[in-house]
Amino acid sequence: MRCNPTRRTFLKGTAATAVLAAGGACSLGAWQREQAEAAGALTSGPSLCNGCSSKCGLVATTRDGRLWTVEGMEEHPYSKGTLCGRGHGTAQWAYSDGRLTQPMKRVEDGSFAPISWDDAFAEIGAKVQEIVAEAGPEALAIIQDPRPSGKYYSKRFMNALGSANVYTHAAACNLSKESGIEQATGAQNFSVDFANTKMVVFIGRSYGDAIRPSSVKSLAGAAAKGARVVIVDPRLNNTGVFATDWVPIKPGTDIALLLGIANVLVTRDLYDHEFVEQHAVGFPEFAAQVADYTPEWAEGICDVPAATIEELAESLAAAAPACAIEPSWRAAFGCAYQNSFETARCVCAVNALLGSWGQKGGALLTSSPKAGDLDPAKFPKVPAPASPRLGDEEYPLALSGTGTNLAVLNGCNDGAIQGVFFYNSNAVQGYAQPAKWREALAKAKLVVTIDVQMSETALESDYVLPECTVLERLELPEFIGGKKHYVALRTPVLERIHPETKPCDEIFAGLAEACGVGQYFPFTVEELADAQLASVGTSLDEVREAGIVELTDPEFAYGVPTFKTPTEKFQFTSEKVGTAGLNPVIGYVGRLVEPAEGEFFLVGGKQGIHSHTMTMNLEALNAISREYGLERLWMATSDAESLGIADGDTVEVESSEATGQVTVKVTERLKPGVLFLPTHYGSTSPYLTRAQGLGINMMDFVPLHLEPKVGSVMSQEVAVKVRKVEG
Amino acid sequence: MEAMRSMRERASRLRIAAALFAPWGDDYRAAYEEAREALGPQAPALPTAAVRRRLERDVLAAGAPASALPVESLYRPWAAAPEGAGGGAPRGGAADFGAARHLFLGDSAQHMRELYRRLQLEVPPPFAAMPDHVVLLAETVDLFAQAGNAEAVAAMMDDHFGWLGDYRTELAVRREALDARADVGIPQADELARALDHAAALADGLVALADDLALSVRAIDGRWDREQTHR
Ligand code: SF4
Repeated sequence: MRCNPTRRTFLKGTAATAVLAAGGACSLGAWQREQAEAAGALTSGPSLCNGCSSKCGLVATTRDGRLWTVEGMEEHPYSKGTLCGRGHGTAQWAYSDGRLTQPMKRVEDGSFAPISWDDAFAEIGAKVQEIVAEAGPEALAIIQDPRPSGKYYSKRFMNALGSANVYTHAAACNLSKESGIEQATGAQNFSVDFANTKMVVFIGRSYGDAIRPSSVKSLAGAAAKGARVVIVDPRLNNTGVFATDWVPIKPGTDIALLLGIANVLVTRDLYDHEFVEQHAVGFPEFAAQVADYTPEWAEGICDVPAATIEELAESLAAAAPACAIEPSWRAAFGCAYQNSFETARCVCAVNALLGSWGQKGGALLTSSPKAGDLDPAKFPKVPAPASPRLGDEEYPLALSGTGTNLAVLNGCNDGAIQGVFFYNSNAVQGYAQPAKWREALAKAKLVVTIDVQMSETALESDYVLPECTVLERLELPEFIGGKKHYVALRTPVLERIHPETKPCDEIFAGLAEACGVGQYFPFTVEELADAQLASVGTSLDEVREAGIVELTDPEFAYGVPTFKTPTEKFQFTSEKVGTAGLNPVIGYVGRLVEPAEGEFFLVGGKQGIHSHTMTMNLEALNAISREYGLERLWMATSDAESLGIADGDTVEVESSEATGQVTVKVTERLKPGVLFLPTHYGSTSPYLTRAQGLGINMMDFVPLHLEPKVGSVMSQEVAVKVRKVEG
Repeated sequence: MEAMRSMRERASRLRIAAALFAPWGDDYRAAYEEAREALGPQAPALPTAAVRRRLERDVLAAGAPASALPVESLYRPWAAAPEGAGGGAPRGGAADFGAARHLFLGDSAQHMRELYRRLQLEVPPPFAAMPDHVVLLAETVDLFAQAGNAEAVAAMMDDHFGWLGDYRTELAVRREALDARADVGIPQADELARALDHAAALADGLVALADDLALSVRAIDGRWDREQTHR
C-alpha cells in the first residue's frame, strides 16, 4: 500500500457540498440512537468455529455487516448449542489488531517488508521451479494443521508439484495414539458410549481442559447418571468436577498401569472369552506376556498401589462390557513418550479383554462419510508423485494421512528438503524444540508460511501470506462421522475485512499458477464444494443455508464391529508392528528419560481457553491468562516446601536443552516429583505483542528425539531441575 | 469572519500533520516538509530513511512488533454498551465483545462510514478496515471546515478526537515494551525506538493542533462546547 504523492487527500470523490455545508451533520450520538432504534440489519448465518480442530457449528449474527454475536449451533454434533469460551474469544479474530493484513517478505536486514500478492507469487514460483530443477520435486514439503480447505488444497498443491511430502501436525499431537489404535483395531480413533457407560477411565486426557462442548455434555450426563469416572493423571485436572477417582501416576508409565489391569483380568479369568476367541488374534501370545505384568510389578514402575490397580481391574470387569478406557488425544500418549504408541495399543487391549468393543456403554467404532468421485474433466486428477514421502521408510508406523512432520526438520538439515510450506501451522513453536526448527529452516532455500498472524514459524519464513480469518471465508465441506453422518460448512458471514488477505483456496491456486501447475486448479472453491456435496446427495445451497445437513443414516448398531485390520479381527499382535522391528505382541515399553536425583518430570497440557499457541495473542483470551496467572508452572506443595519455594515465587527451570524463568503455582493437585506447564506460552515472536514474553515454552526444554518407528516428538521425555530465583 | 478563517487554517494544519501517519514510502520527505510548517516549532526532525521504514512497517501497521495505529476504533469500546452510555441498547441485544478495545471497525468506524456515505466519499482500499484512521478523520474535519460548517467541525472534534491522548499513551507503552524486550532480538531495535519517538512527537503535535482547532470552533459559537459523548 502506498499513498499517491500527487494527491494531498486520501478520501476519494468530491464531497457532497450540500451535506458539507448543512448544519447538524450526523453526530455520533445521533447515529448511535438511530442504530439502537433500527429494526432491521440483523442477519444470522451458519459457519464453523476455528478455535480448535473440533470445528464446532456456530451461528453468527451480524448487524449491518458487523459481527454481533456467535452461538453454538443446536444441530451440530460437536457444539450441541454451545460454543466454548475459546470459541467466543476467537470470534474476535476478524477484527483483531494483531492480524497480518498484507503479504510480507523477509528483506536483507532480516526484517519483513510488505510485498504485493503478484510479486510474492512470482518470486515464490521462481524459487520453487529452481528447487525442482536442481533437486527434484521431492525436495519440497508442506506441513499443515488440517482444516477443511487446507487439507485438500495443500495436498493437491504439493502432489501437483510432484512431491509426496505432505504432513500434518500429528507428530506433535495424536500420531502415536492413532497409530497404536490403528494397529489394534484398524480404526484410528474410537469413542466411549457415555450415554450408557457404567465406568470410564481417562488416561491423561481432560475434557475439562481440552474442551469440546459435546464431550463435556456427554461426560456430565454420564456422571449425573452415576457412572464411575476415573482420572489417571499426575495432575488433578479440570475434569475432576465429574470424576469419582483421581489416580495420580508417574508420568509416562500409564502403560504399566494398563498392563497391570490386563494381568488381573487375564490371570483371574475376568476377561471376555467369547470376544478374544471369536474376534481377536494373538491372545495366547499376549496372555503369556502379560503374566509377568503383575500389579506389584506395575506399582514399582507407575507408583500406583497394586491394590488400586486390582480394584480398578475388578470394577471394570464388573461393569463390562458397559465400560471403557477412553481413547485420549494428545495428553499422555498422543506423542509424549517412547512408549506412547504401545500405550495406545494397551488401551485397546484392555477394552478387548473387557469385551467392550461395540457394546452399549463401551468403546465404539463408528464410520465417517466422505465425498464421492468427482468429474475428472472439471477436477483433474493429480498424478501420484513418483517418490515416496520422506520419513515413511524410517517411521513406517506413522499414519499414511499424517506422516511425521519431523522428517521435514531432519530433511532440511541433511539437504533432502529445500523448500517448505506451512499452512495454519506454528511448527517452530510447538512441534519440536524451537531452536532446532530455526536451525533447520535456516538451511532451506525457501520457506513460505500461510497464517493470519506473524507466528514464530512465519518469522523463520522468506514469505508470509496472510489468510483472511475464518468467518470471512468459504471452505470445503467438513464431513462428520459417528452414530449419524453429517456434512457441515464454513461459510463466510463477514465481508473481507482487510482487502489484501485471501482465503486458503485462492492462495494455493495462486501459488500453483506461479509454480507452473495451475492446470490442476481450474475450479473455484464454490464449484468444488458443490461437487463434493452433490456426491453425497446434497448441494452447496442447501448446506450453506442450513450450516449442517444429516446424510444417509449409517444405521449404527451395537455389537462387535468389523475390525478393519489386515486380519479383520482385533489384533493383540500385529504383523506390521513386527515388520517395523518392534514387538508385534502388545506389551511393555518403558519411558526413555528418567529424572536423576533432584530432577523433576515435566508434563504439559492444554487450558480450556487456548488452542496450541495460536490464540495467545487475542486480546480477550490473553487478558484472561494474565488476569489469572495461567502461565504459571505447577509444583506440588511438598516439593515446594522442600525447595523453600512459595506460591508466586519465580523459579528457574533447567533441562539439558534450555533454562527459563517462570512464576510458580504451588498446589496439592499435583503428584510430588512432577511439574506441570501449560503448553500455550513462551511466545518469542515480537509481532505477537500480547503473547510474547508471557510464560515459557515447554518445547524449548525437550531434546529433539523421535519415537522409534512412529516419528512422534516425545514431547514429555525430559527431566528438569528447578531452583528459586532470589530477589 | 476572522474566526472562520482561523478555523479553516487550523483544520488544514490538522489535516496536513495527520497525513504523516499515512504510508508514504519514499514520499514521506515531501509530506513531512509540508507538515513541518503545520506543526510549527513542535515538529520533530525529519527521521532517517531507515527510521521511516521502521515507522511504516513496524509501528503504523497491524500485527507488527510495535504496532500502534492511529485508528480510533482501537482505543474505544467496540460497540455501544447495552444501556446508558452511547444511546441505548441496539435491537438484537449487546454485541458479544462490545466492551473490548483494540479491534478494528468499532462504532467510530461505522459512524465514519455513514458520514462518508452521506458525503459521497469513498474510503480507499488501504484504509478499508480503518475508516476512522486519523488521516481520514482529519481530512473530513477539514472538508467541513472549508465548507464553513463549524457545527460539524465541532461535532467531529467532540466525537472523534478524544482518543488521541490514549494513542499517545499506546506509543509510550510500545516504547517501554521495546526496551523491556531488548533480549528478544527485534531487528533494528534502535531504529524502531526512534520511529516510536518520532510517532510520539507527531502525536503530541496532533493533540496540540486538535486542541487548537477545537478552541477556534468554540470562538465561533460557545454552543459547540458540549458534553463529550464518546470519551
Ligand atoms: S471446542 Fe470450542 S474452540 Fe473448539 S471448535 Fe468447538 S467452540 Fe470452537
